[in-house]
Amino acid sequence: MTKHVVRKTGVVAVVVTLLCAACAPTATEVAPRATSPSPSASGHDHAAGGGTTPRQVRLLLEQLLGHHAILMVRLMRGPIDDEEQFVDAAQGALQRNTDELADAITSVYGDDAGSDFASIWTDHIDSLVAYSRALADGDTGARDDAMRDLDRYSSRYGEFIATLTDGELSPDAVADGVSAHIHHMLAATDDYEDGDYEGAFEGERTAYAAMFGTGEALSGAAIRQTTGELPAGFDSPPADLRSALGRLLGEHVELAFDATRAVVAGSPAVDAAAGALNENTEEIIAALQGALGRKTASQFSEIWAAHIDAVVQFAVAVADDDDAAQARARTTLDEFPQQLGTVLPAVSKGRVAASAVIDALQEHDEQLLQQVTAFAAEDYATSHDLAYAGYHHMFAIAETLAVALEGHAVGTAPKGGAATGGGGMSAR
Amino acid sequence: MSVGAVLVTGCSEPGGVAGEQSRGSAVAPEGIRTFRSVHEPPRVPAPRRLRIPAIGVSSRLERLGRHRDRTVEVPRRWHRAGWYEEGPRPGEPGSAVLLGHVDSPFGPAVFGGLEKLSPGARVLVDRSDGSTVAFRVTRIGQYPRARFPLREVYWPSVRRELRLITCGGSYDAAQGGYQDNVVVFAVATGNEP
Repeated sequence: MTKHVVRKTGVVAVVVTLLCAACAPTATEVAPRATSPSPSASGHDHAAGGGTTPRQVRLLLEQLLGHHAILMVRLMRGPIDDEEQFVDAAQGALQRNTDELADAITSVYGDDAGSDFASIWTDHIDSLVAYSRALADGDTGARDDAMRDLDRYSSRYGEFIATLTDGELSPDAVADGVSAHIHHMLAATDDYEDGDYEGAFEGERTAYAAMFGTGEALSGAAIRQTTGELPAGFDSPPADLRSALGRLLGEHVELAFDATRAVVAGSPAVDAAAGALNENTEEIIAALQGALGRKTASQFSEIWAAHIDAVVQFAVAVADDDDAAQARARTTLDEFPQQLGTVLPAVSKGRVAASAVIDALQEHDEQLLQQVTAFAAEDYATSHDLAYAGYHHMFAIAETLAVALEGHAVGTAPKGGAATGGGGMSAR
Repeated sequence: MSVGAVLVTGCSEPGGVAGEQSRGSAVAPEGIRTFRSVHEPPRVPAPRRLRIPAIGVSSRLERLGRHRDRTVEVPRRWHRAGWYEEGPRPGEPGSAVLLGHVDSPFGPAVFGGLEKLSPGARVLVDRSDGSTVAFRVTRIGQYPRARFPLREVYWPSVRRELRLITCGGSYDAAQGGYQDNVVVFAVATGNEP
């Protein structure tokens, strides 16, 4: 394998490229009703001088790899659902994600590396799809072939990344990581095919969360190659907070897509999808309670729950073809951005503008409603476009939420250290 | 499972084909019509006792807040640790903060041995419902009190963590006593029976 030369400026370029690549069409571009996200809610804080920070590289790789896991799980369910048009659209979304990941590699390591990455990455996608098709067809021979290909793939990918990162990551460690990823995909698909939908959604959540660790490891290796060490901001408390909130909110919207699509499809997976959405909600609310205390978390959770309930009821109304019920759900949803637009700026001690919160959440709602409307009309390409944008949009909302929580912390945390000495006997 | 089959028949038989009608004419499953999202934060029990087997600590926990000048309150008793109750509870997301004195006018106090802890040491917090949440020490830091690491201690987080704080470094009575704080960082490893 060709050893790729690291470009010293590559880490900066990677996010610049990807920020453009990740700019999926907004609900505004697909339908005129929607509102564009506010630029002030952007999840991408640029470093001084217009460059980007190692923290941004980490967060964006996590975001893209998490998206890969979700899109892959969803694509693998397509053949089992026997929905070829859906499979085509899902493959388009996954290809777009692969292109963005390859752009990242190109930005850091050059064109050849980007091209090699796209090729090897696509191999595991193809094998996973082959596995899913074999499972749906009951073709055990084809399934075994796919599994053999996937077994061989792990070590090949491990060698590729180890060479790419000049040994910053060991081939075995990378192979173990991608092997775990493949296992997550197979297990989630097996469960889905077996009708164990709770297991399938548990697998989806596990696969998604694992990719955030992968993103941190890969970005860390790339940064160490260029700088020799990780800067303090790479895994600082603010970076970890944004990573965690992005993961939770990205998962929120993806599980909402799953649940609402299951509603209009009349799918037997709908209860499991809704259950997974609830588990995600529990995690979000628990995180906010830890950061803001029970009173504010209760206020937030009532608003958040009403938002989710209205989105689900909208999907039910779409399935029922009930325009009046759709309008009622929309009326309820209209209150959601306004309510959080009051709560979050107050919590943030002035660091977050109400307009930024409102605009961002209106966009979020439109993406949710329009993607399920398109899905119900079997316009899967539009549904996927909206969902693609909807996922990335959540990381802008995560940034806004992180700023709000940090504003609260700065405004309420104790000042200085603690006077926990009583006489000096322990002094050295 | 074929979604198409469900669209046409409303049942869950496998092996059907994609529905030819719009999904908008499908019937939503009954159960989802009564779906209600989780709408209340979890109830996390309050901490009652701190135990650190490696250094022989077993202390009831006082509740601590902030003084008017926004500095953190410290335990009123030398031999008792305290929980900063305006932050997270031990075991919920975020960094729960426990404080204790390193010494007293008469000898070592409850956190006199805190600096001897090593990464990997267990820290246990017993809670009001009888449960115990366990933590594992990851690192120990010493910081000038004038440059206390706010981000490392009080920053919001989704991880379930613990901070143990006491005094350390040199002692200068004219400058307010100990000049440093020792901070033990620990991560939750789960509940214990």
